[in-house]
Amino acid sequence: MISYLIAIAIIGLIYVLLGLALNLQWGQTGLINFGHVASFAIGAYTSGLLSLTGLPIPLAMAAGALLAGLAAWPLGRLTVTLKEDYLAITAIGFSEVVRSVLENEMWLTRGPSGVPGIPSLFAGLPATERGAAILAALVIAAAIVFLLLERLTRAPFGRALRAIRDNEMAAAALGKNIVSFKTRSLVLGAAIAGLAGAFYAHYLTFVSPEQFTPEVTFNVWIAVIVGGSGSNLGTILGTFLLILFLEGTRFLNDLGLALDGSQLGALRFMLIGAALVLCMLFRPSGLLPPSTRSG
Amino acid sequence: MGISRRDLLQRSAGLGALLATTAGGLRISVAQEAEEIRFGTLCPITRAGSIFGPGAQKAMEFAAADVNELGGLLGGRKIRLYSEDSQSDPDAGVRAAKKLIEVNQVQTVLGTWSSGVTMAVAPIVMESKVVNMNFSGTTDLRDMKKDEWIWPVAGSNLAYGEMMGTYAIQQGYKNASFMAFNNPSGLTLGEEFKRVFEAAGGTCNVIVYNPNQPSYRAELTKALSTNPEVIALGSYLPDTTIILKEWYALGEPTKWIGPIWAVSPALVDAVGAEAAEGIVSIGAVPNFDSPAYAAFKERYEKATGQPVLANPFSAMGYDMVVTCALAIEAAKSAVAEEFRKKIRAVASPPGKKVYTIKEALDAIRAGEEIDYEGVGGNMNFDETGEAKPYFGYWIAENGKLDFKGPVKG
Repeated sequence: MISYLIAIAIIGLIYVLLGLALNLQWGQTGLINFGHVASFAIGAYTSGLLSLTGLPIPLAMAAGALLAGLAAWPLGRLTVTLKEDYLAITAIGFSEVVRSVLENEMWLTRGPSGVPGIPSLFAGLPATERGAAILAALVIAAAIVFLLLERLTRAPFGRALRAIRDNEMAAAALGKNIVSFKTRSLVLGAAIAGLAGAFYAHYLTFVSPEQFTPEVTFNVWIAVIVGGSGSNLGTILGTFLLILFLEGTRFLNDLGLALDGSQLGALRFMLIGAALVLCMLFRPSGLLPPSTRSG
Repeated sequence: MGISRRDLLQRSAGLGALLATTAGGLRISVAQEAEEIRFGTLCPITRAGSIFGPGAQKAMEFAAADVNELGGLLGGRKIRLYSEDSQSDPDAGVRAAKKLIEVNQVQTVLGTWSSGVTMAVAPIVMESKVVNMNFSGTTDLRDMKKDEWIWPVAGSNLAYGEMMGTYAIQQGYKNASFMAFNNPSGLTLGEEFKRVFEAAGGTCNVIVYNPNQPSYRAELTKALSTNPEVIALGSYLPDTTIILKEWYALGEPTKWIGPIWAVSPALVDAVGAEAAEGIVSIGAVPNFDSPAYAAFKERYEKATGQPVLANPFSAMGYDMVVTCALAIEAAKSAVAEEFRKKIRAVASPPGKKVYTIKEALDAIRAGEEIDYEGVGGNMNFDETGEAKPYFGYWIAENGKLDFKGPVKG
């Protein structure tokens, strides 16, 4: 039981990192990044492949985050001058390009077969302890990212991002360099997503293009929107709620609903959908929306 | 942050209630009598594999019920199945496997489908000391060190490619094209088809295409450019549907061969009787020679309304549970670490061929060596730990996919 909870918490925290990154890009800056999964994938593959060449895992993970950030830079330079909806389309395109590369550059990524045998974090420990150690590392990483982003939100940089989000024209008129601010927000968010990817690769020890579908992006979007766009705490709450919906529904049968396996499978998705609709109906600005003062 | 205390209370109350219900569920599932032997199933109930998953899971339930009806194993211990949905997705599959292993404390994770799911679940089952039997055909799985934890039973893509090539040669074709979906399954099928076909003196031109395209016109034109007598497919249902419709519109004559998961009754329905006419489907077939097959067929078709030939994984799912049950009886242990070493012994030669659970259990209890022949296949595991199913072929005629007979290798 405890290992299962640890496993779920690890996936949950990886999604928290992704959520915090998206919250910086969307919640703070208003960038509609529909290609979030691309940064996640770049982080996972970079870190996984580098560690397979013998690079120590911490260095490989840092490289994963760095490369994910760098890969977002041209996207930022090219597209942040576009209006929001155009950025959304370009970002989807970017993530599909990344997935195509993963699927087709066999020499580098082994194509659709995926990369098995990636070294696990804390490989020396037995299974349960290893899970706990990975979880601890993730808690520390998420806490650092959270504090950093909270700090950033309150700093002049965060205020500038929100000013751009709310009225780009006015911010530009006040002398803010819009392109530079937006690019920095995009790159920082991508690097955080890359770090999440690196944790993912060294936890699962297997990555394949199938794991980096647009669905990941939209799960993160759900978490951010349900939690409250613009609020880091809300994002964390939204992520936990999403994982609770996704995983908690597995236990419906144990609660005495004697359903056929295939009925349960279908019912789970209906319940998840209904729960999300209800959240939005009763809490249209999220469970923990940012207060008007800081948001 | 301006959150009032009342707000926070209100918000956390709902969350707390949800947590409490989930925790209640966990408690129930942990408190079970120790007598039961816990089997986990992880079939693809939703999304891509949903044509096969529910049927396979149903057949596993039959097998568990049959064993229990005969009085269970090891002097009266019943099998209890815990079933999860892999959602045909590696990520969800891993979480579900963790739940089965950690929460339900199962000894098996049976019925994983799609190479991605099985490859992602593989390190977890081996580390947790749980037996996995799967319907995955990737050659990565064939090559990896499985150490008797992981058993593919549905035939690798090598077997499918070989059978499609064999069939094409038997039809006297000399010039073929192969359209391969760009994933391990499609590519292996293509390579193996080409190998078998060219070894018999034919020529084969392999075209690889990428998934999720609205049109495959360019790839189709390339495949037709060598005027092949036959185009073989390493594909799936959605892309095959588009390819066949586009081919029909072009009006260039050629024959088609595809694997059963792509060339299925659903494909014939989707493209229409005329476009589908004459297309050949190669697939695993159940073990027609087993005396237990007829009864299984009737029971399965009555329970699901799906013809058993449309889902060969169902009969194999039945065999998975039976094989594990027999191994448990033979090993005199319901612990995966012990009974995995008997899986090959009870299912593969040498030994007395047995076809029903009763026969098999009686023989094991009498101390005889047995070779269980399943309803889904002969379950003879080769040196890599993989069982090869029997194959047959279907031809689409007048809007229906008719089963014609076995393909002999």
